[in-house]
Amino acid sequence: MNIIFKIVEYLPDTEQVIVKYARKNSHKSIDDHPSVTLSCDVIDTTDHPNIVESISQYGVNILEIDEKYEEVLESNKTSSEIESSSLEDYVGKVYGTDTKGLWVKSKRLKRIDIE
Amino acid sequence: MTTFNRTYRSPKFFLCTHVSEEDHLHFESMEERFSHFTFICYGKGKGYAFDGDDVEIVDSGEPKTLMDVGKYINCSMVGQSKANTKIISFNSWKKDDIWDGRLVTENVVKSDKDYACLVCFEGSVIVNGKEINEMQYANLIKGKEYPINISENSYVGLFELY
Repeated sequence: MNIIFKIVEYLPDTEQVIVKYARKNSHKSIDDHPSVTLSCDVIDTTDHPNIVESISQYGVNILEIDEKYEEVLESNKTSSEIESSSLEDYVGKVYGTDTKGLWVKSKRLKRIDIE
Repeated sequence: MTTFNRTYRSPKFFLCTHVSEEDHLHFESMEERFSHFTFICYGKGKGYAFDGDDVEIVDSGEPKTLMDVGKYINCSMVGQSKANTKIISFNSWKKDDIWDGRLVTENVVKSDKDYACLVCFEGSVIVNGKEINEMQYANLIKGKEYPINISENSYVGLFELY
């Protein structure tokens, strides 16, 4: 995921910034995302990359929470689970899962029903 | 070098396999450690568990044994293979989960915990008439007794979540 942000206001009196975050590939404009207030204390102003990365760090969780409330396009809704292990049965249908725990060389441990 | 690593996910826990050559060094930071138990398939090695300024040396023990490594879950660890080695670690998704685990040797298994499972590390095992093969698992119903028949050269662990 690529994260973007826009500082919509800098408040020198309170040393805060008002920031909007979005996913770079989002179909919703960053201007339509809610704003959050960030203390300048947490921003690393050493140079441009550090400024961008330190502000971005605070947006990751916000975007993950935002995503839960985003509407899902009708064409992106997942189909009901099926028992089939044949790839042919998956053609033309949409399936998906949470990305948590998905990483390279990771697979689901097979469970045997002994009940 | 480590020749192969794979993670096997399940809703309550995950397994990691590590295969390494002799004298391989592996570092795992405290933040990355979720291991409660380690099954030694073959080989041997030593671990160096860093807890603040203290370092504890942990011997891997004999092959085909299950080591309780839960006390090092909040330590950073350097592992050193002393031979070609394969281990399978049993890990929780949350560090504060408390697990008990052991290799099964009896003919009947039962657990009074809300969640318990059998994991076949090597070979195969018949539980309640169903075969569980290597790197497969089965959940147990609380309080239910299951007849278990462990094949020769097979190793299965019972893990209970407290």
